[in-house]
Amino acid sequence: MSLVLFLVLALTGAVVTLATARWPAARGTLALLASAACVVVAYRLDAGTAVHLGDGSLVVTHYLRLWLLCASAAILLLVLAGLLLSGRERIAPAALLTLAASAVGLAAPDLAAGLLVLCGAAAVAGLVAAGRVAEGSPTLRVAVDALRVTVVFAALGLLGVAWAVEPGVSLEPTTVTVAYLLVAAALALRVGSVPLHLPAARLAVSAPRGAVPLLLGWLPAAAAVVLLAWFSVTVLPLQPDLGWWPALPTALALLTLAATSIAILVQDDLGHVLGYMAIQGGAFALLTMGALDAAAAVEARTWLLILPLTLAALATVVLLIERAFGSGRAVELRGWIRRAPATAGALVLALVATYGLPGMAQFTARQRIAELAAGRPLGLVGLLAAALALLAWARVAWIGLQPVGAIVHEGAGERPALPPGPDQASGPAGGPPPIAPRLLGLLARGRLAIELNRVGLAALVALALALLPVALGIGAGHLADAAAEPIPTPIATPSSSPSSSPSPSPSPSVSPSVEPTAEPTASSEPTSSGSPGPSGGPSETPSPSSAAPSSVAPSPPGPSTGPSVGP
Amino acid sequence: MSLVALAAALVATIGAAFAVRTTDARLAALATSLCLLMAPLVADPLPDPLVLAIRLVAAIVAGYLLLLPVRRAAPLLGALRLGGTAEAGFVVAAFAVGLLAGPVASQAQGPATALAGGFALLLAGLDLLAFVEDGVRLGTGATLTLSGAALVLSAFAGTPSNAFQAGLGLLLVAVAAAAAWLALLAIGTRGELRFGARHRDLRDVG
Repeated sequence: MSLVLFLVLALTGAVVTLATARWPAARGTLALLASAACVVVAYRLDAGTAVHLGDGSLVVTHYLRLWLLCASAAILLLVLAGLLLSGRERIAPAALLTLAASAVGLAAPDLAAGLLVLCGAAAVAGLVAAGRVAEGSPTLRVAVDALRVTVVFAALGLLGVAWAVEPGVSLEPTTVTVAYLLVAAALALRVGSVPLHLPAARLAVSAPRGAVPLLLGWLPAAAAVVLLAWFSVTVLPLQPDLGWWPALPTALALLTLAATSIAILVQDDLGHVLGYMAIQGGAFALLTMGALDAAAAVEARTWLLILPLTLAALATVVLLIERAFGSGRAVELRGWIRRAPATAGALVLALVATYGLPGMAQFTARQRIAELAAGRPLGLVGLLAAALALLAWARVAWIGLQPVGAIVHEGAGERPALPPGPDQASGPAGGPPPIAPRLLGLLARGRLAIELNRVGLAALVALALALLPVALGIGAGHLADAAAEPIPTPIATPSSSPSSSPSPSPSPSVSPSVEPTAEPTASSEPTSSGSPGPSGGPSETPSPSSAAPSSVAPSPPGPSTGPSVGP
Repeated sequence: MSLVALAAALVATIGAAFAVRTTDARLAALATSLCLLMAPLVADPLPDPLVLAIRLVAAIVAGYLLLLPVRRAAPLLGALRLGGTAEAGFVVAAFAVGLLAGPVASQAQGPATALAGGFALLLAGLDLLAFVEDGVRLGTGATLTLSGAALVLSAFAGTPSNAFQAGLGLLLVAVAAAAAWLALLAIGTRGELRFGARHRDLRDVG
């Protein structure tokens, strides 16, 4: 299916759910339908095709397809969990807008344009954080700061990309260094690395729980993927000598890993913990900038898809605990696991998905990024520092295994409850009742059963959410292969002069690019899908990005060179 | 040096300086709209007419969105930290620096006027973004920052692609809409355009 259909569905869903804000039931149903439709269309997307819009194009890669499929599924489950737990839907417009922006941002060969679209979505989606502004002005200030961060990130990203827009162009070392530092600063700001973490940490507390994976997960991760793609195709092939500058993002990232673990350990509020988990996960993107290695960039693409999924699962668990027991403070949750074992299972799965086990994609990705950036001993120290956060979760689990406290006792557990039996109505002559009343009765009982088991059903949703990143980690979807496939380029290619009309031949507008692969190999691919067609409307064609042989590309660092083959 | 680009850069810089200096929210929004209108013309060669139309619409819509909150609250804004005149002077100085630096920038593929206009808009935007406490000038600062950064990009990379220009138009409208919405929320809760004091402790917010 076409990416255009996906975009239409996501954008229509965003507009419709925004317009039906006054009718919560209709809005919830529409949000579920729109996100379910996005799941189906994302599953049916044809990788290797391109959609032409004017003189631009959107290229569907395996990685994009997997990203959209996972994001759509996660958003569907987040919406479902929100509806089950609160009966209201608060994130659907922002979530569907995020989906559409991710589709454009990750599919656009013009990476700077993709970055702008993602920032536009982030600016609008950040307003979710101000949703509860009636409670006081702090949430308003948080939303204002989120907008500031988005704008400064976009400006830094553009300024960085401006110095090195075209792959394969030789640049002076000073130029490369300035561009590198600007983009690293943009990335640090976007993922909330220490010492720029305060806006992200505050956003995690003030935004609705369901919106945290969007604001601190999907949108920053997509932006990081775009910036790292720029890094892979422009800076890495030059094998630049950046002196000691790469140590700066590496040091900041390692500091972030350690500092967030400490923050998680001392925090009692699960909302804060969730925010710091997001910041900690984002630090690996910054570590990738310090690695200066194509293999690290590939591993980062793997990790940046798993990170938002784990955040979605953790956010659902936190939301479940808060809604079920009326508190998100660990000390007040004595015995919560006894009342909510499925939620505890989802938490364990989410933590396994976050930190990974040996052999899982996330474990390998985190380990390789850390080692390539900081070397083996220091990288290992960074990983261990990050894993210290598990102690805080162990404490939450220990408290949950204690005898049930007063707050948890008064809360709603997961124990299944059945609605009362049906009325023994009979028909006019003492026979079976008519079908319509029986169906209505069944429907009412079904609704009552859902009402009585909201927490248990939401726990099942959380389990499903936590299973997604675990499945990806053990090889479902061939994420590692998808992450290693060629990145569509060129980046912010200056348009030809107005006098030069588009050529019908496929060769002139094809640009060389260098792609990282799973192994540190180099490839050069024609990545923009031929020259633009004469028509202005969208058209879909197979993309040559995975087919044509390499031609003109500088070699990135690595032991071997050659055309890389997508999955 | 293209005269159109030079004139557009000059007008954009004057508009940015005026947006920084004024304490009237309506004038700030109008000056911003003027800057956004001029920014795409600071290019050599000029972008496609379709792109210019997109940026024109984006500039008008962004200006309109920034004007929306002003209808519901007093338009007078507080003075900037260093004083509007001094900061407007910095904006003009940034233009001069960009104009001088443009020809000597070794990687530059676009006109020097783009670098000059970019520096001026960037400085004005970052100044407003960092120091203002109201929704209208937050939107003004955000849109000027983005336009300035895009101009610097076009100074180094040449006239950007149409996809980039369309993306920039979308982003400008999105940012202006977000700032306007935040300003409306501030009016709803505080009765004025200012956002209010910053709370350091958010534990009881969520």
